[in-house]
Amino acid sequence: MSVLRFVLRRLAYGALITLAVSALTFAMLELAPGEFFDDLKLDATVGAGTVNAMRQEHGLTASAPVRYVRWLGDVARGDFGLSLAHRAPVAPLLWERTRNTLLLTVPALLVAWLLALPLGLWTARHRGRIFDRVCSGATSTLLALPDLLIGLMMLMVALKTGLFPIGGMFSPGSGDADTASRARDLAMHAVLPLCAIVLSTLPTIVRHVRASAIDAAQAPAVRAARGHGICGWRLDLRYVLTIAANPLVSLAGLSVAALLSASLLIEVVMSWPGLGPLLVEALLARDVHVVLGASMLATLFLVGGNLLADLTLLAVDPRIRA
Amino acid sequence: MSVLNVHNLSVRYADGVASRGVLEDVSFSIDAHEIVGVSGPSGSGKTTVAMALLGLLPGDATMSGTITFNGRDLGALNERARSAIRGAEMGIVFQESALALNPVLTVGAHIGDVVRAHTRCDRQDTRERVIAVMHDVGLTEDTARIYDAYPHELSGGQRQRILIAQAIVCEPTLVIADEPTASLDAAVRDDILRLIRRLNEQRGTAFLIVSHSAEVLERTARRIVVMNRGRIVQVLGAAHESIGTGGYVARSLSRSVSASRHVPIAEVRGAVKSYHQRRVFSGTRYTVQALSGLDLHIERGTTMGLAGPSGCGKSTLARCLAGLETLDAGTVLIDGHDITALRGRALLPYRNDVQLIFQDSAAALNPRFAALEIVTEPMVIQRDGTPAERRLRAVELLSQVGLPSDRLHARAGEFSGGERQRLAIARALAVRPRLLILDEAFSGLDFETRALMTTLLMTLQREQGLALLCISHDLEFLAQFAPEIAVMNRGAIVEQGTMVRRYVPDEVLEHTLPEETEDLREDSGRAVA
Repeated sequence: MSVLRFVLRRLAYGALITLAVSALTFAMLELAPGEFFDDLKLDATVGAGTVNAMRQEHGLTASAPVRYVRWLGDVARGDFGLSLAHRAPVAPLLWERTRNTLLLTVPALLVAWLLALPLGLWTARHRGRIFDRVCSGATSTLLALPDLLIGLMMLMVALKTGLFPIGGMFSPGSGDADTASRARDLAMHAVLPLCAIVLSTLPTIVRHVRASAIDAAQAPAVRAARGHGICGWRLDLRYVLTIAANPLVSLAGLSVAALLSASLLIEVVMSWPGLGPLLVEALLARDVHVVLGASMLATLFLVGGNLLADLTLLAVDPRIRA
Repeated sequence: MSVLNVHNLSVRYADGVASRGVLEDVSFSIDAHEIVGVSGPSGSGKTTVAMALLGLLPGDATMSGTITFNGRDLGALNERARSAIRGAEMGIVFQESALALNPVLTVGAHIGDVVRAHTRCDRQDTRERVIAVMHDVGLTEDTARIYDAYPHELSGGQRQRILIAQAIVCEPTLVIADEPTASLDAAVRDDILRLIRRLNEQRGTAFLIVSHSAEVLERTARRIVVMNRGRIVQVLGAAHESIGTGGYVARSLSRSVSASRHVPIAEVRGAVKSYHQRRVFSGTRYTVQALSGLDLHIERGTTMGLAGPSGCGKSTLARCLAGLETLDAGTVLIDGHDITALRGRALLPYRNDVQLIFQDSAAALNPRFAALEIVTEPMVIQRDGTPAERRLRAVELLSQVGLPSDRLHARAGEFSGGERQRLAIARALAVRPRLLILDEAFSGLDFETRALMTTLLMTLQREQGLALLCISHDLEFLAQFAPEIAVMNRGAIVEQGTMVRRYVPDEVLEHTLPEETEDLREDSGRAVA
């Protein structure tokens, strides 16, 4: 019961945060110079009257607060507005792009965690040995490489080996194929961006796992377990990892929050039709409603991820559960 | 036939460029079925011996000498072989049961993991063995519930029994017990000591018991190895009288106190303090009344003892006196000045007057600071003297509290518990306080260190008129140290009196005592008896 109230309270906070983020985003877009129809003014074939009529039609002549409140009212009714660039409602557009992004980031983060946990535990156990040093050198290098460069390197791999398709989600003309071969096509297209995301997120997680595991190894409970002859993976998984869990669960929560943003650059570089390219285009074109929708969505993921982390801690630790 | 033979065991830690010896040429042996005790002041290397035997020394330690266990040279074995011996042939009982157990694993998992680490047992067999060993350590009632319980759901005594069960479940020939009763009250400690003796008699398990309590060792061990500064200084039979270190304390503490009186250094009038807390999930607020109309005054240059059950507000009072907390109502006077309403910078001059020493000095000192830095830091904050003068005074203070001058640059994390407490006292003295509050500051220390500290504080009191407020739940200790004792309960002083006779726990206070004082006295009376 009290847990339910806790969740409800956190959700209420989440709603407030989302509102605040939308207001901030709106304000920033307002403060930046220019608006969507400015490009049209450069076109000599379009008269000033036409542009003004279009601005009128889309309600851009009203003052900023009025437009914000009007948008809020629309959102309350489930209408996220119109994308000026795509001449379509924002909600279905966002939904399709979000699905594409998640298709990439969910497996990528799962893979990253599944690799990082054993790697982190292993390097912590063999701290200072050659494998640990190699690993630490590799993670430092990866951390220093910009995501952009990792994406470009992946493209180069695709180009040189010819094993994987370059860019996009589907091969051209695959629309008519059956479901199985379409899925295979999708998987082949996803391999490289997926690797790029794993490579860019893995080092942070490995380092956190390693640091937490080294800390936990000093805990009396772990020393006691070693004193009883418990060793190897039994020690690492049941004693070290459970004691190191708190910071790691919080980090996992942030991973969930990063599901929409982890791939932004990679998507742009490797032309994956996810949220990344959409957001970049919308920002450049001052397509206000798309930017607002995307940032609210990202906020929701952040709130949800943190809530999920807190609930996981609750489920894991019998002291809080009681 | 000896189970264990230790020959010329030395352990050194890499300490920056130089290395520091913590064990020097330690040699002893343990026969089958024998109970051997290791005693000595904190920092003497007792626990290091235990860890060296188990092969659990930290990575920066180097060991020399030979340890022969059941006919094998342990130094020649690799980590995998050592793991196979730990828990199976050589069991270990750790001291702090609340910490030595993993909070997210059940009791059954804790003991079962030890079984599965050493034998191929299916789930059912393991459970049966665990239940059997739980009966062996005296957990005969409610066994099924305890099996599925988490450590935080158990009492301290039950947890200690679980630790012993973990140590003996694989029927080792030797069990090492590191301060097995340090955190237990008198009655539970008696039970645990009886259990150790019974296991020794029935199973023939040899025990190595590390403890700074002479009584624990006298009641269990046949021989006692006395250590100091990393060396064995004496090997005694249990009945040997020089083991009872009570004499130390008596001699150091019986000095009379003469100092200027009549102007109280600290006075508390009608102090009220409550804490408002919120439950994590439900969000309901509730109030804890820590102080409810408390009056107390401490004369210059005297020692006041403050006793009371845990949660009665002793530490809150200490924090209010030190200006770390503000009262809801009432006044605190330091040297006649009302500091109740002072905040921030205005409070700074009085912060020097009152210094606080906590029980857990490890948490109060930054482990990465060198000893010298720790002691000079308060002087830097108070802009007291030139760097050279500060350094000189720090060296003087460190030697006053009995820390050797070659450890000036050692980091706080490298000192033992007792040494760290001395470091904390040296830091407190750096600002020339007039009232020193010792909040359970002696709880974790052995007799010799306690005696050293109390002698030091007495000397300072005589020379500088330092007043002491000594907070402890150990009434017997207070009775020896403080001429006047106040007893607190539920946020107020319930009893205050001068000592009639020292060393006689039955007549601690002049007046007849309320019930809670009786309980407290009974407990501490047995603890030191």
